[in-house]
Amino acid sequence: MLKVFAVKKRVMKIVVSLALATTIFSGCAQGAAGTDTTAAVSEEDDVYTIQILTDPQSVVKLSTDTAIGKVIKEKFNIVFEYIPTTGDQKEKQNLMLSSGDYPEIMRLEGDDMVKKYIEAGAVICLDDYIAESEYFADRFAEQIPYWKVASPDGKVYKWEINMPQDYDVNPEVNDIGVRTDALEAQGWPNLVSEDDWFNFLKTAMEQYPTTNGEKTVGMVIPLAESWGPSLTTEFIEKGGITNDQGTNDAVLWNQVEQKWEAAFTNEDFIQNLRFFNRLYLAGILDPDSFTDTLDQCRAKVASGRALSMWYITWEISGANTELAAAGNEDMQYVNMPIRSNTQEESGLMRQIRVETTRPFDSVVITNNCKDPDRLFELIDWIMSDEGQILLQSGIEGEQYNIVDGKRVPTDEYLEKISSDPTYSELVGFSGALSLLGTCKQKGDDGIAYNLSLDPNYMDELFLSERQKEAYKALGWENSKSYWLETGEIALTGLASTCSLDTNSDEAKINEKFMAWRVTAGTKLITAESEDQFEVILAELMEEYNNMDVQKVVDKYNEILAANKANLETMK
Amino acid sequence: MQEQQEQDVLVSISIFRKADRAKILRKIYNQRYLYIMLLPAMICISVFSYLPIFGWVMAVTDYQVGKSMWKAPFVGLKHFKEFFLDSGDAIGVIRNTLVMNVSSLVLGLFFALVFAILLKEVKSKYLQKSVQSLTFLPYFMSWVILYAVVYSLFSVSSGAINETLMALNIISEPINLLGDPKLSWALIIGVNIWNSLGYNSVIFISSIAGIPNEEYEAAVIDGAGRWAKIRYITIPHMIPTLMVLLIMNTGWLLNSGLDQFFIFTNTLNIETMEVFDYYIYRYGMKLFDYSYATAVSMIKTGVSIVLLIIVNKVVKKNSGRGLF
Repeated sequence: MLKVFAVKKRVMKIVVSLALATTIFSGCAQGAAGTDTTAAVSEEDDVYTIQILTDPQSVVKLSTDTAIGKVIKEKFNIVFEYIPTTGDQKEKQNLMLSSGDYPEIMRLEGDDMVKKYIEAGAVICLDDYIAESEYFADRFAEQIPYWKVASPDGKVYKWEINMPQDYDVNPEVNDIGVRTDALEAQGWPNLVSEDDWFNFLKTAMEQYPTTNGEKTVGMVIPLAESWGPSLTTEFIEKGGITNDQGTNDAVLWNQVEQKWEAAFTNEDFIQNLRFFNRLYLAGILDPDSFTDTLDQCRAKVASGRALSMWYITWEISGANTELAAAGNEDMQYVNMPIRSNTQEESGLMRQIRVETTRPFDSVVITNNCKDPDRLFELIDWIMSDEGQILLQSGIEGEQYNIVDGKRVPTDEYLEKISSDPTYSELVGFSGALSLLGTCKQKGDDGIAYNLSLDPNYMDELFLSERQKEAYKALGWENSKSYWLETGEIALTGLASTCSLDTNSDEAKINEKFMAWRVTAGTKLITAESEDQFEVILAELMEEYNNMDVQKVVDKYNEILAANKANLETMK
Repeated sequence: MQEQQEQDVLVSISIFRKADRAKILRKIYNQRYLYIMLLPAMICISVFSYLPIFGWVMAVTDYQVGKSMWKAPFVGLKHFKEFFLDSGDAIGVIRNTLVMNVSSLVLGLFFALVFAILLKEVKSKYLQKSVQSLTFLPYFMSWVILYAVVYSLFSVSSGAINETLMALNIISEPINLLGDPKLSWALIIGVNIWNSLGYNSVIFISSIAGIPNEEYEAAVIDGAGRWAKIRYITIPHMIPTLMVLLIMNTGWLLNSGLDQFFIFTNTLNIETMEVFDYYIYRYGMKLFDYSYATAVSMIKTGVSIVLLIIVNKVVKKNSGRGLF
């Protein structure tokens, strides 16, 4: 009996030990399998399956689940497997590089990231492919010299999403999204200057103290996001001289003089903070802005609680859909311009940024790619007129028809593109396939590749009746009228090719400034009075002067001069 | 003769050592199942806690992502110097970390002790268990949920507490608990106490359960009331547990937990909220300065070890009990 018991006890010990060991090792194996990025080339039918990173909310798992993906498979026998990723993309890109675990084709944010990957030998040089390409070299004829200049060795390693760009294909203008009922209540004023907006919002707060039983907030802005604080100085892109390069750097671009200058000493930079202080003191700026992420702002906008939103006008479409569903069409939002008082008085044309290059959306083929020749064959074809039409307009007969030689959207497209949230994904427009390279241009037929962005169709597709009514009442021809009439093309040119060596002293100063700028901006916005604002500004200016930021400005201009000289040799 | 004696001694030592070795091996064999059970944990600790220590080499080099950290150029104590002398952040980060963690530790243990004592005095076992379970719940909630709860209560524009207090005219302006830098320490300490109350009290409750009943009976016979029993029996028996918890947690004094501060830190309160973990995350993962972040994390580890040794010595000296 005792012997049996002893044997049973021994067996139990072995079983428990093995179970523990199995749990640990199977967990590790599961993790390794989940990050496996090697391609599978099926021997049966030579299908080349490539894993690509995509949005976690994607309903599609394989490109062949989409109409466009099916055509790609038919022509090239290539299938993309979508791997959802969350979190900060730049962080992920750094981690992937440090572990050597990255997919065959991937998006990289910024030239500094591309440089890191190049210096680590992680990406494939495309020069030979470009030399033999049929469409790629022509499509990016203007961009290639700039990419060479930005590259550490003068070679091309990437292409970019949403490049090249035509000015009138959905110019990027993010100003203020405002409730149309508040506009109507004050007689559809054409708001532009900061004073216009301040007075308008102050009156609107009195007219609408609550919205659907909740306290109304005047303006929301997601300052808790990592990119949030940079939004508080967007006046720099609304004047006629400087432009925003979309970073928190110590420098900003003077479009007129084509040079870099210090950001913190720029008048528009400080004036924007002054404007936010005014809003804060008047109780117009949502006090939760400093702790709100984009999701929280989105919730306030979707419920109509926010009278206005600063810069995050891409949320308007979603918010308006929710408001319509709740029966609050009259509260829907429209995008309207803002400039500082000085900018408005100056009468200067606004610099509408048109990117010559777009490093933010760089795409590379990595050295993990099993068959780069085959992949580039697809990429090259995608750069043709036919490829772009497939990628962005869809299938003839399904998403568009040809009428008098021009693409015209079908009824199905018109009906579903704005109303059915899964339509774009199931066709293959949105999401991962844009990695192949969408061009923000018009096709050979004069219609934008992306029918939704074509000036002839955009408003029809995406503006609600209420929005059309609002723009009509404001006297606008379409939703971009104001900017197209008062703006001029501001090509970014060499500005986007300039980036600091991350190990340099100037990069350290820039890093320090970026962290300091966040707290400095918050202190100014939350000043208890206009006088205190000036006192705090004087103190901050002293701190700023001690940082020796001029070194960063000088370095940027030095890089600019070098790149300008190199550009001529690269062309 | 002497040579023979020396040889005999050497042989004896060798036999002795062999015997020792055989004894050890036999012991290991007899306890082999225990060692096998221990093996996965040892592997985990080795792989995830000790192996990464080799990464400390980044702290004395200018490491570039994608390249070998062993081939990065050596820079000596440059990053350590930068943290203490050039950045201007050292004092703020250390201050914030120590204030919030020491206060959370001391007050957390104090409230857990008091709570355990009070819970012990509750006659109804059912009520005792229910309250204990309810207080334990926050410990299992993620910081994201906890933040959502705090936000819904204390948000300036729509928080339940702020709206109630303003409706009752107790305050004229909402309290910006989530943003006001003057209130951020109180916020974190309060949230930490709330979060850990149940967990810490369980340890004290089990310590109270170990007190012999005879002592209480003897006290009753001697005419001791409830307060006297608590003061002269319960508390003295809990002191050793308190000391052990204090020493164990001292090693974690500079560890704040990134997820909590990631959620609660914002542009308004960052000057009083930025702790070591958030600072290392910000420089390492946001600004990609891995070498600098590694140097700061080494400083944190070094100081934690020193603190642990000091506190252990002090407690051992005063109470005769220490962790090692």
